[in-house]
Amino acid sequence: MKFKCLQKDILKSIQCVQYIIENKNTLPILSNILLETQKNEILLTSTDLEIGIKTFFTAKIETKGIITVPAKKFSEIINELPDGEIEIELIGENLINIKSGSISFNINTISSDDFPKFPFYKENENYFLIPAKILKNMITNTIFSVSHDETRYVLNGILIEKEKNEINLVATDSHRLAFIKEKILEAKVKDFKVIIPYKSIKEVGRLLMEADKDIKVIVEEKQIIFLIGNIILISRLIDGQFPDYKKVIPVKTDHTFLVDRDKILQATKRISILTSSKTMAVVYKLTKGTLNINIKNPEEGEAQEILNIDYNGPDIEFGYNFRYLLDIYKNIDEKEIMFEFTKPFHPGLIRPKSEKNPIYIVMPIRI
Amino acid sequence: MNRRIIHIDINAFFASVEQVCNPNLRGKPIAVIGSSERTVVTTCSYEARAYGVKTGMTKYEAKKLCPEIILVVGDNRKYTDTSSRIIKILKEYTPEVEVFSIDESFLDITHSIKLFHGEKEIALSLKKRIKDELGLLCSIGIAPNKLLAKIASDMKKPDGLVIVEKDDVNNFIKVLPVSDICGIGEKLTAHLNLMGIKTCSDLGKYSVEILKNKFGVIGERLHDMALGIDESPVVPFDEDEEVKSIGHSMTYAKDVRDSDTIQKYLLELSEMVGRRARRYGYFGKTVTLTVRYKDFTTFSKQLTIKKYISHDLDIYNTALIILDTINLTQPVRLFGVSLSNLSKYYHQYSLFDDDEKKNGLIKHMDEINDRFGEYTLTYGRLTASPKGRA
Repeated sequence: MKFKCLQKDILKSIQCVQYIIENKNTLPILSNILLETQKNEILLTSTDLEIGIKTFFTAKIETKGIITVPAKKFSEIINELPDGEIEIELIGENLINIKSGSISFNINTISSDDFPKFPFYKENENYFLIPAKILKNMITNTIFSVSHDETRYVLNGILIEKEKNEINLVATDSHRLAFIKEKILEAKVKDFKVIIPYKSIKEVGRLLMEADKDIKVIVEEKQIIFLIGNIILISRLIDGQFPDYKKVIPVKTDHTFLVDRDKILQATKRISILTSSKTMAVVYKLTKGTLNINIKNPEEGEAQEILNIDYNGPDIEFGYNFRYLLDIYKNIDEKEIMFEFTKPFHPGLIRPKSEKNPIYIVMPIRI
Repeated sequence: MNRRIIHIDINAFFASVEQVCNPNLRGKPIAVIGSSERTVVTTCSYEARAYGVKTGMTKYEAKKLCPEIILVVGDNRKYTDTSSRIIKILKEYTPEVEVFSIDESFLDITHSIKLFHGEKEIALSLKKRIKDELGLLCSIGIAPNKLLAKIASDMKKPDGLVIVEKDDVNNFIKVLPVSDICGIGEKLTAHLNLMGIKTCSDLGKYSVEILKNKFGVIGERLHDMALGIDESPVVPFDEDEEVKSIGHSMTYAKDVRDSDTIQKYLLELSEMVGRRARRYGYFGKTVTLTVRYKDFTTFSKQLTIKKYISHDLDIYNTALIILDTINLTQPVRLFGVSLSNLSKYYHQYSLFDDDEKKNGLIKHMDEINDRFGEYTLTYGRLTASPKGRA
């Protein structure tokens, strides 16, 4: 195998595939990236057995070949090489040479024989199209609510659900829930409900940062495929039943108040300085015209801040895990937010003022 | 304010509990042993003590002294349950109850004497209730501090009541052999005897300096002890003393290796840990599994998870995850499960009914067990637990 390419082209491709590779692997081959010559391109593949990523870059192929290289060292070397042309050549059975001007590296490789096969999928069936920016935004708005409690594996991912010409993304750790829906462009797939593992959807989110076109999502029985420009990401799905989230989103609430996003975010952040691992709750106390945000932590001290708001309901008090609130406020991209609730110990609903999308549900802590 | 402290010691605790549970054992010499395959006597009944049987003897020695002695394999769950019921009674007399061991507690009754019309009345009422409700006898000592209260309760067994008034402290302590003091063991006694110190009055004659020179930091304490001085407070469980972990361990009758039995044992331990964690209002993030092999090699492995837990099954499942990572190379003699990284319980409501149902279920189980005694309601797979647990 021998080819020539530009340093920036190969580096960009490596950066697409390398992040899913785990630091420690029981199978050494999984620490490697697969390099494979095509007609005028080099294909790069990585996998952690749950996710596979494949991409390519243009190269001048001199001799054909296929080999795997240690991802970490290979990426570090390429990153340190100067801009310009580099030449890569297999010079022994398990040794490649990387050359750039007067710089030369020889690194050990492993034969591609044991590298896991990239799963097969059908490109023109069961797919929908969605603008990259929109999907990216949907992921950002929900991913922070994913549960990391491994004993409830169905919550360790994001639910993607198609309903007619819309898709919903839902994430919950059973104490809070994030929901967002958007229109899709073109669809050749029946309505579906699948759960994508956290690591995969996080990777999709990362890859979407540089994408600006429409992307294609193919949903199969056990796997989902994202075609993002010249990158293919394939992920296993979480096999299980996502809880019936629609039951927990209140259709009708008794009381509401509007509040400036920045003000409530800053106030909650300030008051939460006095939280500790034993006292996570900040208290929202509502009286006519005011929201009193306070905390009483026997170990640390007390604090309160009063915001003037437009509220006409009864006096009421809720305790919330401050992290849940801050996560939500940070992700609402609008000047004013709407807080809806009915009574103590029942779900509170937080959303942008203008529409019911995204919707955040948060359960109180008993205070 | 003159402090008044009670020390209460349940007489022949393990043996008495066994006699209460099994009428066939009552009035007979019995000895509780760890398991049918272990040999050391943990406790014996007063009937057996009459023959000279003592704690720490092997069962063969005990049989030699008392051929008709009945050996009973102990059941920790029974003792833990009885102990918690006793503590519940004690707490009705004062909130300041320090649980010293499974069968001994200190009570600071300074502020409750008036309420119950006298300290003797408190002691008699305690004795009556423990006898009526649990069928157990106890020895009680009342004194101005913990040190003297413990000595007093030790003076008359079984069923004793010894009261030391503040003005009598000197006369009371003076004639006592130093070995009677809690904290002065065999070695120290031998050492003191060599110095010609036999009684507390002998010890009291030595100056603090000499004792400090001779014994280091405990010298001062020894001097105080000899004079019957002890300022240490009665420390109730849920105050001041922060709990770092909640754990239980059990040594098994037969070394175990089959996974079904192991799982049962872990569930049993998890149940005990969960129950105690919830009783004290704690939940934890780290579960530790301790394993002791047949050859006494002991090791622990722990796992910290992302959420706080206190439910039996959550603890159990985490323990199983740890067990999965261990390659058991020998039969196991002891298992221990503990919960640490603790936080005071707060209730975070859940969005989904199932979680709230689970919380409700465990709450009702706890209520039933609080009311009708430990393990009235337990897990099906534990009711068929193999015998010989200790």
